[in-house]
Amino acid sequence: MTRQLRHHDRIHRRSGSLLTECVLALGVIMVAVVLLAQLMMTAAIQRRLAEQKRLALEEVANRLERAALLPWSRLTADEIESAPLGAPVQRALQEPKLIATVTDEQAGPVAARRIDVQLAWHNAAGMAVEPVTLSAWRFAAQEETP
Amino acid sequence: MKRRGSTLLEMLTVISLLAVVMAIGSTLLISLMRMHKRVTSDIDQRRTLAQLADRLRQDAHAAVKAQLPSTERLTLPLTDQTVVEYAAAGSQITRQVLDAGMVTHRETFALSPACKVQFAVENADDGRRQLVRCEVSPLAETSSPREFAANANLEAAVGISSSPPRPARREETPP
Repeated sequence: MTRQLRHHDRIHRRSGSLLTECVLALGVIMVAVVLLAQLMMTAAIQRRLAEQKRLALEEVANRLERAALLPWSRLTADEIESAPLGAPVQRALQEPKLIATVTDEQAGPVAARRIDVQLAWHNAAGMAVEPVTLSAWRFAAQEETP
Repeated sequence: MKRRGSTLLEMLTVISLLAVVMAIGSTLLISLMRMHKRVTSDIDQRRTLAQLADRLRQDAHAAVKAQLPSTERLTLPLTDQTVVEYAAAGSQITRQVLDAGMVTHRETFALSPACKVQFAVENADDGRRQLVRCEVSPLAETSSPREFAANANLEAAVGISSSPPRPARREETPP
C-alpha cells in the first residue's frame, strides 16, 4: 500500500517543465536552421564563383583562338591584349584584368612561340580570385619562317 | 492532489512556437529545393556548352572555310565531300556531318530553354582568315540575374589545322 502511494506521488509530482523543454528544442532547431542558412549561402557563393570561372575560361579560350589567326609578324602580347573584354565578362567579373605573354621558343628548324593568356579578377569581398590561365603554341608557317 | 492549471497556456505556446519553427523550416526547404534545381540546371548547361565549344573548335580548325546561310545555320566544309552543319532552333543546336550529301552523323546540344543561339562569321587577318562565333544569349533582357549560364560567346578559328587544298591533278599525256 505504501509502495503504491509512493508511485502515485512520483507520477503526479511531475514538474511543469514543458515550456523549458520546448524552448530547449527550439534552440536546437534554431542552431540547425542557422547552420543550414550558412550552407545555402556558401552554395550560392560557390555557384557564382563557378559561373565566373566559366566566363573567364571562355574569354581566355576565345583570345587564344583569335591569336591563332594573327599573322606571325603581329603575334605580340599587346596585340592579344588590345581587344576589349566581352560584355558577359565585364558584367559578371569585378575588375577583370587580362595579361598575355608571348615567348619565343625554338622547336627544331621551325620557329615557335608560346602564348600564355591569364585573366584575373576580384570576388565580391574585393579579394583576388585565383586567375584562369591557358597556354597555346604557334609554329611559324613555311613562308613566315625568318 | 496539487496540479498546476497552466497546461492549456503551455500547449498554446508550444503550438505557436512549433508553427514558427515549421514556417522557417518549410521556407528553408523550398529555398534548398530551388537552389538544387538551379545548380543542376547550371551544371547541365555548363557541360553542354563545354561539349559544344569542343566540337565547334575541332570542326572549325579542320574546316577549309565557314559559310553562313543564315544566323541560325553554319556550314563548315572539311573536304570536297564532307561538310559539318550546325543548325540552331531556339535553344537547341543540331550538328550533323554530311558525306556527299548523305547524313552520316547527327547529335544535338540542348541548352536552357531561356536562351537563344545565333552564329556569326567574322573576317580576320585582312579577310584571309575567318573566325566563327556562336552566341548564346538570354531570350528576354529582363531575365532573372539568378539565371546563370544564359550568356556564352564561343569563338573558333577556321582552317588552322586543315591541310592546304591540293592542286588539281593534271592528266599528262606521253609525248
